[in-house]
Amino acid sequence: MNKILIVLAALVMATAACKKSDFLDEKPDIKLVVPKTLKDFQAILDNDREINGIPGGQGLVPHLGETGADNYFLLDATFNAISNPLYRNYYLWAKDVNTSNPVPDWNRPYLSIFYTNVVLDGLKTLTAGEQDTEAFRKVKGSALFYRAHAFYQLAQVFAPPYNESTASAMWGIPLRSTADVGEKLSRATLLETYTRILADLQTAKGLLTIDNIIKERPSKQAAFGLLSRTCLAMMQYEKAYLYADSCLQLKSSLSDYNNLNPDAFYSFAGSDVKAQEVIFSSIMIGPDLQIPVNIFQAKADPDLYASYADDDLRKVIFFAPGFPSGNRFKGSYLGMDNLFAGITTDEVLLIRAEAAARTNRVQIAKDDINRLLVKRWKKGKVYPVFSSLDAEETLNFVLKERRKELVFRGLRWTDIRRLNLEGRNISIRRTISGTTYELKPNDMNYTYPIPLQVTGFNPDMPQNPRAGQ
Amino acid sequence: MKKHLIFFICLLVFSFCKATAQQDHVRGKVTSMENSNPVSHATVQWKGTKIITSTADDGSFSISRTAADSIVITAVGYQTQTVYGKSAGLIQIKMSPMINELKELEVVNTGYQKIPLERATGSFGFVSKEVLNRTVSTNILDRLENVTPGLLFNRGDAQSTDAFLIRGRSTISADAKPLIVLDDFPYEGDIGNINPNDIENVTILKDAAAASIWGARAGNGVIVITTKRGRTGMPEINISSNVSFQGRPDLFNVSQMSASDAIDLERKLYGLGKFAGALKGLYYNQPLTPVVELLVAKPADMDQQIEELKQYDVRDDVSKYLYQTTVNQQHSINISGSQEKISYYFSGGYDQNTGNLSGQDNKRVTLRSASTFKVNSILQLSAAITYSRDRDSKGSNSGYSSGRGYYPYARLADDNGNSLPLYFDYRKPYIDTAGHGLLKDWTYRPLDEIGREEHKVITGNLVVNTGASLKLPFGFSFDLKYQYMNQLTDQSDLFRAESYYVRDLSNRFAQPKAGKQFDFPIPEGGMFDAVNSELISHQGRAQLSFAKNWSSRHSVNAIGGYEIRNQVTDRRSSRFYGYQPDLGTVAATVNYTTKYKLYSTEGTVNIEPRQDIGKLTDNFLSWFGNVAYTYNNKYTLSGSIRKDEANLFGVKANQKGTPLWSAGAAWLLHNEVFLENLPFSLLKLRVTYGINGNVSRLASAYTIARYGGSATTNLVSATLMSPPNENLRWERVKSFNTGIDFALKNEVISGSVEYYVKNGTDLLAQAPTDPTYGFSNFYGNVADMKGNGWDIQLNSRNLNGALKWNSNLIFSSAKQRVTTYLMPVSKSPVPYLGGGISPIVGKPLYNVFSYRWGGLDPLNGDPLGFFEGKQSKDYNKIYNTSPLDSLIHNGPVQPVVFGALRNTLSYRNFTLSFNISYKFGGYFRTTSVTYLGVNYGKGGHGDYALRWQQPGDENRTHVPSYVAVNNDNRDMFYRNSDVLVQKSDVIRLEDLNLSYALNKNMTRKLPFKSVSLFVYASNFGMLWKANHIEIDPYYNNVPAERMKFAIGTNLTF
Repeated sequence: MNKILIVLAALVMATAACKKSDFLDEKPDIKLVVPKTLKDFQAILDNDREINGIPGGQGLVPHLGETGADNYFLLDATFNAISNPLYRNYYLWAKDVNTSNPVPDWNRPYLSIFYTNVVLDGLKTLTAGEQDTEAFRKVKGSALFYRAHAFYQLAQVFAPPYNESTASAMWGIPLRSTADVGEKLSRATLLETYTRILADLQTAKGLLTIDNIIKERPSKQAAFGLLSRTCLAMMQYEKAYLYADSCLQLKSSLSDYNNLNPDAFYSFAGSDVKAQEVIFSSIMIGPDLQIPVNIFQAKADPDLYASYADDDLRKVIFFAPGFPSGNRFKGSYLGMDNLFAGITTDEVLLIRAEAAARTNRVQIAKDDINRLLVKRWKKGKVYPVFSSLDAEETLNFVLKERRKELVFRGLRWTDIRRLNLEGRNISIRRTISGTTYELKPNDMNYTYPIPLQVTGFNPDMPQNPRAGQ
Repeated sequence: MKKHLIFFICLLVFSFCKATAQQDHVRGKVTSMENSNPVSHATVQWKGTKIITSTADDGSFSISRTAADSIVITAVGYQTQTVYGKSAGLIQIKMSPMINELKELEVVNTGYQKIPLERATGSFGFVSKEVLNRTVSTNILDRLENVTPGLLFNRGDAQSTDAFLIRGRSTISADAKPLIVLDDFPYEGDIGNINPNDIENVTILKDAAAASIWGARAGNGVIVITTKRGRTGMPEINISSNVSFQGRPDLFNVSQMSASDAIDLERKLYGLGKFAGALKGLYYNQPLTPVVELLVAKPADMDQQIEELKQYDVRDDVSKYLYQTTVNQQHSINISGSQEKISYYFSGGYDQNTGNLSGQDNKRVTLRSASTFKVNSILQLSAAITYSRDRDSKGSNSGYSSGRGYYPYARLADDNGNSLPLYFDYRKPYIDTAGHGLLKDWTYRPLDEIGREEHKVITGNLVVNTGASLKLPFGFSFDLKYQYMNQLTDQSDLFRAESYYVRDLSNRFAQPKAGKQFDFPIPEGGMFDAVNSELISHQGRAQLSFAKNWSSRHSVNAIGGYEIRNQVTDRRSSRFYGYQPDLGTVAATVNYTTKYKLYSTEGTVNIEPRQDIGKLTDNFLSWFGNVAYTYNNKYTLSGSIRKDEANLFGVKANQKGTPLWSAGAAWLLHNEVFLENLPFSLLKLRVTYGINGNVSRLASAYTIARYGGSATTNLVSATLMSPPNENLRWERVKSFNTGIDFALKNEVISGSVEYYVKNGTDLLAQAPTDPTYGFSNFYGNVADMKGNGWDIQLNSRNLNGALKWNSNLIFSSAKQRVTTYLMPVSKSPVPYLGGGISPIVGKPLYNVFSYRWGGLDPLNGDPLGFFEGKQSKDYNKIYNTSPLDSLIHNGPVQPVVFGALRNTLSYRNFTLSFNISYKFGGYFRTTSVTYLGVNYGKGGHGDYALRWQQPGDENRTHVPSYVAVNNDNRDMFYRNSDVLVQKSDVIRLEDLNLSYALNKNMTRKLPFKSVSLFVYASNFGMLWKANHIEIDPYYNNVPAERMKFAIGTNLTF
């Protein structure tokens, strides 16, 4: 009897001795963490699904720019098959494109910004010892780069084109700088927006290394590349030239399109383009049959298609004829139906060429263009070596090549906005059921409205003006 | 402390003094006639007076003398006895047990204590062994359907909302399943592990007072399952055995376009060039039906061959070859008895079921041993071990699911029964030529496949219960309980080398190389997927109880205690390639990293590694207390309090727990002098109020991340699960319950009527937020719900002569509506049409909404709808942008009123009982044709034959005219219009049980104590339905289950 009592007493003691806090602090799921360590932060940034976009995921870079640009058109039947009116409105640059539905072009980049802010907030809590490590610098530089990249992408569609003289009077985008959901949201000016992007990238380039094996992670050359792209969008050509040059000094290899199979369904599937040309990998939102710019339904713009010479490999590498009527784009650097929207050496080379032409470095511009074309032209065929020394002629030639090289990359929209500001008079036309719609140069519809989901929560937030019906 | 000690000593002395002074009292002891056990809580009353007391735990009583000379003793489960009370000395009273089954009801088990129902304030439902045993099923839960009010089993379309609910749903996104308690502890294992033959009874805890003792997990109600224990007396052996049969399901309940219609349409579509894309271009290898292949090949006798195909119906072959008659056998034996200080119960059970799909079967063995050891008068020990092993296996057979690409005239076997191929992934010409003979055979023959895959789940479950009960002085007792559970689940999926799955995978990864040869990255051999999981739980409880009566007027019953629970689930999954089942070898290396270009489709993928390790831990700590005070056997007050804390993740320490409470009162009117002339033996009013909770592990206060693998980089990555939510609170369910229990003195009618209100507050749901923060919604406490309803039970004894006739009627109503929800109403009605949870203030959680139907256009048979109040055919606008308030709210998916009527007739040795169930107030959407689907050319819904074809047809049909140009919005408008919505109201004869019983009292020659034989039949179908379109709402366009027929016997030695 006594023995039993002792056993019982021991049982009670044993239960009570369990430390209560430990017991209740045990993780319900071994895979969960409250992010605290550098390893956690690196893992958060390595979430390619949310940070870069992945095939089969939702992508990251807004498709709105490409959707509104002049690389493609839709057949009437395709247009009518789009059941969500939002996407039909996008295609025709309608004044009123907003519905209460989620706008992934806004939501996806801001989700990645939340990821980077969780990391940047968390890094501040690390000890001085932890902060003074290579790993810390890499994580911080990466977070700043990813955030700047997301801000840049948002500014291309939801903020007006950058114009130095008016930038401080125009609205940019909300610049989320913490993960706190209590933070008051408001739009920064356009000047503040671009200043922040440049400042973050400046810091990032000092923290990042040139290691560039995993293209989903940023590198020093990626930071230079994005800096040059941003400066180009800001029409600050001297800076664009210098940054592009810095980038190319670290990475400048090009793929030879002669090595590709022009009969492949996706020209770049299994190719070396990721190793050779990609500096930073990022994926456009899509593919979704609702989104007009979908390679299965978007037909290449006839003028664009006609601009490629017959010996220009890009004609057969980028486009598959007659699918079933009109030419299908098949040249995503991802080698699949997702559109690639990252940073590449060919883009940076074209930035340097353009900036060089605009800053009295005609010879450099010429050399860059020739370097590119030799990789794009059929082997054995003579490509038109460009040799004019006229700056304006050179610039026009570079811009033509830029037009032909960087298609369906999410870059054309920004180019049109920028080039129209200097009077190049680019109009886009679409015809649906016999009616022609036109987006005239410098139209205010080059800036998409802030989604209703956002303004609904922030009634005071200024909306982008829209024109038309 | 010292003061307390002195006080206790005084009490002790005082009580001794009292005991010696009881000269003017009559003392006695009440025991059971059956086994001489003491009968506690029996009421002892001088006849014709209000002098009353009750017996203690040892059956003894003491009552002051009066002028009256006889004493009336009443006790739960025993026949009332009257004895002469003037005899000297101890009066020994032997009570004979009540035969009437209704009486077993009167002690309910909450899992913490057994409460005499008479003193309970809360709402309890009770299902006795007899009621459980009149149904034949492998699973215990199936036996609770239609026998107790408040417990709803949803059927038909509503089943996908909540399979079963107690008093409606009071949460939005947390689990709405009631808590299941087995032998005093929450049971998280598979309910299929429990052998129904081992169950003594089931108690349903419905309101706050009944369930609040289970605290944070009781918001959805509690089902307390009590297993059989050793009986007292001579050993008794019980053997029961039954076998049941159920025919193949009726596939013709699924509407299908006739072969003739389908073939005619295919010819038309071919003419329109619909298959051009499949014949060249991107979809060049996509499968085509035999008719289209004939149209492509154009053999001379094409028309004749096509005509021949019109005679087939795929449902004939599927039914014949893929289904079988279900045969379930259930055998069990148990032995129980007691010897001196030990009582014991041993049982074994064996179930063998063949499923209704060919190749499907299930076996279960259960073993149980439970014994109680009475060490001495104060200490009692108990131990029970239950083991079960369940083996579920099936082949590659998913029956009649449209996923396998059955076209209406598909055949699975030729006239001689030889297996035929079905082309559902690739075209026949493609398969015939692909890889110029170097690839694996790429044809799929459904009948050959059945045995080429083996999907097995083996579940072994061990439950050990131990307990010690210590009787302490002054009415105190102390209990320690501990339960260990270990459930091992071994799931294996074997795909043999010759299975289509493996052949297809191997071919898709085939890599062409020089010389027209191939490399095969998928190793030769079969494939084996293994998922092993182990669930281990430890649960312990220390409980102090106090029960005491004072001067026959005051009675206090209290418990308090502490509980701890730890449950860990480990899960490991892995896939093996190149498995050779006969040798037990697997491929040594597989290249998971290389991205291969697929042979049959575009795109590059790597070989899926499919391996994962996970671990889940649930920890709970709880304090609880419960007290009931009864005055003069008339008034009872009860109260309870409980605090639960759990290892919630990412929350602050003070958010890990929540305190919950309840209070209640009961008034036993039949014990009132002023009502003694009323004809009631029981008349009780009761009312309770309290708060239960609900845990959701999805919510967190901090940002939390979940580790996983990245998609493209092979790096470890983490996903942020939610934005931080500082204001997180536990969900709470406030419930109010009031009821009346009654029984006439002649027992002709008894029953209870209850009304309840159940309000869920701080319910967790996805609430919208500014997407600029990174999330369009976050999981927060954003909703409130209100529910109310009635639970009524009526038992009547209609005839009590040679022919006995009893009826049991149950009636429940349950209504809920959302009262607060922070989400704005979507501008598009589409989210509200799907049948999922889209909370709307003022409506239940699951609704049927539909578009207003304007009939068919007499000119061309287009469906007519309405937009902004005007008749419209702008289907895009109607479907996508109609505001919600312009839609018709037909009603809830789940029934609002439900119940059953069970009649039991007995004559001599025969007993016949049958149960009729009813459900009212729910709605469902019937299916119909969509031309988008039909235009794929593989058949479709049978309503195609009823479509509008010429002017005038609009008067006989609502099926729109056929359109060759796909118009998704037109289809979707029609499919969601109110012309297709029906009431799911139904009355059905659920089951019938006819039994013949003999016992030794009747036939002395019988070699057993008793024997019974029974036949049982269930699923008779509908007696009445609200819809006029001949659809059984239980089987809305799905294969209909047939009647089940069982025969069995019970033997007792």
